[in-house]
Amino acid sequence: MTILLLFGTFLLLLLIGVPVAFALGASAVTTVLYFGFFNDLAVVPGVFFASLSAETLLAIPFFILAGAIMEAVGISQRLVDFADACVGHFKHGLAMVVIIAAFFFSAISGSGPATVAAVGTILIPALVRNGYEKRHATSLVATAGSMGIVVPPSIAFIIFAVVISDLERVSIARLFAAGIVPGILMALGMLIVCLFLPRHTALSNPSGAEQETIGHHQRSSTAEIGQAAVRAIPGLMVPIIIMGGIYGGIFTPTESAVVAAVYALVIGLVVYRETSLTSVPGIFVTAAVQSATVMLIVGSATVFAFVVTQNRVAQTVTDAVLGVSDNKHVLIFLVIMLLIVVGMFMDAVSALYLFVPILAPVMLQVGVDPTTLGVLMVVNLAVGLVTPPVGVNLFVAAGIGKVPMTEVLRGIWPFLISSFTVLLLVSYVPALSNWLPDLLGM
Amino acid sequence: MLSRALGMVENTIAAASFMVVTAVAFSNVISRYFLNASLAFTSEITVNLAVWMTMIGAVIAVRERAHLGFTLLKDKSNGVVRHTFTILITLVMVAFLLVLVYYGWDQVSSQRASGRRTPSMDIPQWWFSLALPVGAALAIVRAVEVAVEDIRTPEEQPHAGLEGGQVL
Repeated sequence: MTILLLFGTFLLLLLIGVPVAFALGASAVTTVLYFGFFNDLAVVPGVFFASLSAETLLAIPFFILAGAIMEAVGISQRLVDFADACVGHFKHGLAMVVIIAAFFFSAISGSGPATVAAVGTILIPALVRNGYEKRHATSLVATAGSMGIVVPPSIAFIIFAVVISDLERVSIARLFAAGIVPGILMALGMLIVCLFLPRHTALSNPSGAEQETIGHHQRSSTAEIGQAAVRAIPGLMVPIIIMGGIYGGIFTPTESAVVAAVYALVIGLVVYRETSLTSVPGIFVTAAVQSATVMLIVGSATVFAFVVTQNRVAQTVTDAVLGVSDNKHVLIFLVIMLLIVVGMFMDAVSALYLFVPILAPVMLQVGVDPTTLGVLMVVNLAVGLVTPPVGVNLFVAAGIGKVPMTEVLRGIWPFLISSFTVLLLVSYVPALSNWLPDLLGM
Repeated sequence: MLSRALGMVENTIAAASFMVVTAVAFSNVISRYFLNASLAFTSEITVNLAVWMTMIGAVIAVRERAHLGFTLLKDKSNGVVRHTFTILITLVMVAFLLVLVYYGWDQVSSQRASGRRTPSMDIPQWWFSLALPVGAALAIVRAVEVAVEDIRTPEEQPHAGLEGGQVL
């Protein structure tokens, strides 16, 4: 009954267009009122405040800030140039450039749509100039951006670690390391799809009106590659600082995020010098708003999860699920299917808050290890970023590429199939997630 | 006019608190690892000030229609149906915000009455918990403002959610 009321109200509010954060909060409040009294709501601000002031979650605003600064100071252009110098001369070189640049930007920003925006602005037009169809160009960039929440640092893994900590302790550092191999697999999957994409080579240089600058050029000389590398190095240092700092035991994830943000600011102002001091407050406002949209969901989702815990919903779900099957492989498949549907309508942050508390107990009980579960859910929700109707990455890519959504949706299928294959692999082969963190002794 | 002035105040608070949080957190890392002097007590400032940053950022997000949501049905509808969606959405938002205003103010009052202060820096706790009722109240103002604009000029409003959706 509780579960119906809680999730039913949430779904209804979501469908009529109430923003996720408010739909979560309002459905939690409705459920509390239905089962209790007005003053039971007095716990809401306490729960809300505690979640917004959790030290671990403070990593989220800082990673968002680092990403916003990196984009504002022109790092994405330099990453693209470097990738282009290395592989741009191959037949599908430009597609490789997209994937490689997105991989590295993911290793800076921790977010999917931010990666789409950073890489897509430069590369969607370039892809189209190189003869790719618009729907494939936008789909490729949207899917490449979905690596953003799998490749560390990743906001989704931070949330997973926080939410599952009631049941089991998995460090953020371990989850970050666990995301690297699946991230590489996603990249390889996309690369394979690209090899089969049709191209109109005739269109590749429309009447010489526009100078080709990216892709489709002669092989770069070692000197040119070196030059591009030097320009990209300050940016490429960011993932090294973050990962090295965390795995060297120097920083906590939150500290590494602060250091990355400040480093990015210094690089932008002192080394790249494309940004002036006066534009800095604007970057902070943008980052504050972007982070607030995530953190408000975090706050409301915590209230929602609090109601779930109070009403022992997890126990009910566990019993019901085990009544259907206690076969690990069957349950994994059911979770994947559920999260595919969930991912069609919901962002990764709220999905993790809603479903980790009720799915994790039963999954851990049938013997899925927490690291694999984390990777499974995050990769699953990454696929959700590019599944219609609410694939956030699709919207961002469609917006940047100025392509109607219906057109993008016709190009997304091959990429969905490749992502889904990777999802099945990481779900059923725990070694893919566990090998690297075990090797690093995380 | 008033709305724009308020907007400036909101932006300033959001940016300033974010800068302070970043600066304090960064000094803390530097001092701990390079100067061997722990400023651990400052983490009280960062985590508590982050609440102000989030609440005011959320107000701006309401103002800029940046909160992530599923707006397909509303976007596809016209006329009265669309206005009904707008009004329903706004009512739900305001209802939840009212809970934060009312019980958030309750929390502030009881913390003032008991004189509760943060453990290491000895700052009154209500300076920070005040962010909830204040932020929620401002968000109500912005939500209503946006709804009125949507109903008056339904065609001119930008699609909601994309900017904010650029995060996750």
